[in-house]
Amino acid sequence: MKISLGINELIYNPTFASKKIVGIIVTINNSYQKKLDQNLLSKIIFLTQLKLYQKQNYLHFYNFLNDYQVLPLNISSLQSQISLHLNEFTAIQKKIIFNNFALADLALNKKSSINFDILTIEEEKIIYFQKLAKKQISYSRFINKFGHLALNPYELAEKRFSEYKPTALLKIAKLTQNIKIKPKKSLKQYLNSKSINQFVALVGIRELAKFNALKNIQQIRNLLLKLARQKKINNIFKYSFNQILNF
Amino acid sequence: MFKHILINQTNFLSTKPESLLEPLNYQLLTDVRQFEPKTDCIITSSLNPDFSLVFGFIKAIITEAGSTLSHLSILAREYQIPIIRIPNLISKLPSMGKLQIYTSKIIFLTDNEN
Repeated sequence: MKISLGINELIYNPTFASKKIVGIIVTINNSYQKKLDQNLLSKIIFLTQLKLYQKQNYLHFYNFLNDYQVLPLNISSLQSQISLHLNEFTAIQKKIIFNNFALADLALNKKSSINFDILTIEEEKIIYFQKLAKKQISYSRFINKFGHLALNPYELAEKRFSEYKPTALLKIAKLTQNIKIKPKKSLKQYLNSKSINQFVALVGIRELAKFNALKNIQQIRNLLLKLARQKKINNIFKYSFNQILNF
Repeated sequence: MFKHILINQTNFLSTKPESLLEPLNYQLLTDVRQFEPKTDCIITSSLNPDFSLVFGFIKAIITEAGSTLSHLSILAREYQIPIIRIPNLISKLPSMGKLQIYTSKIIFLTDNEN
């Protein structure tokens, strides 16, 4: 089993600052891949951990994500705050990539096609966009739920939806108008139901985890912009993280 | 003056088109904000999840890279949108044009003057 990381899929054309995010993800992915490739014993241990996760342990991750909040930090240095959010992002990303390996293992052993009957957070975002386009929800309600997301969302230089003017957000919302989303169970309802397909559950959890990991990306972006204002730096995203943390 | 590019190797990441599709308007796309609503098929370098926003317009996606486990592939399977992986394609094509998708080949009908 090999997970090939599509860097462009993660961040299209990353800025220097965002290469730090790419680096974090590649390092984690390689460390898990090494467990599979190193020797037979490490492979057996890792595969056993994946099986335990597929069977039941994914629920621990789900419970963690359900209660997840980004808390304000009581530290004066902006650079220290950035480092802490990066650590938090790394911790969630480790779990996401472990979840990805568990998904890849399930896909290898998948015998038949799957009825994908949960509403992922990505589809929920589309529904919110559609409601926004039809003026069924307000701009602030959309921002309240999805304001920390963006297009090319792992790119730190990319504006979050909360930074868009209502007209610009409406333009994106209108792109979603023809999508017909079927009525489906929420992830919570699905995980509480009697018949659970682990592959479906793990895809739902992965998307929820990305949704939460991106809350840290938003915090890091805001802190970088604040640092740029304080130190009068033009386009902070063109600098590497080593440079940024030493400004 | 038209030039035909024939791709015989196709690798489907979501659903396989059951039958011959009518000629489609394609657009090379990296940023969903540049999407043209008359487009039926987007051609991308990777399976950026943002492209799910235009599922209501498109009938197919062609990508240079990506996997069946990408969220875009999973969603596309559900919405019956075929995703076809063809490496090293984009540099050979104009930014817009027409194509025809068959179950085992794709023909790009590109206007040389584009």
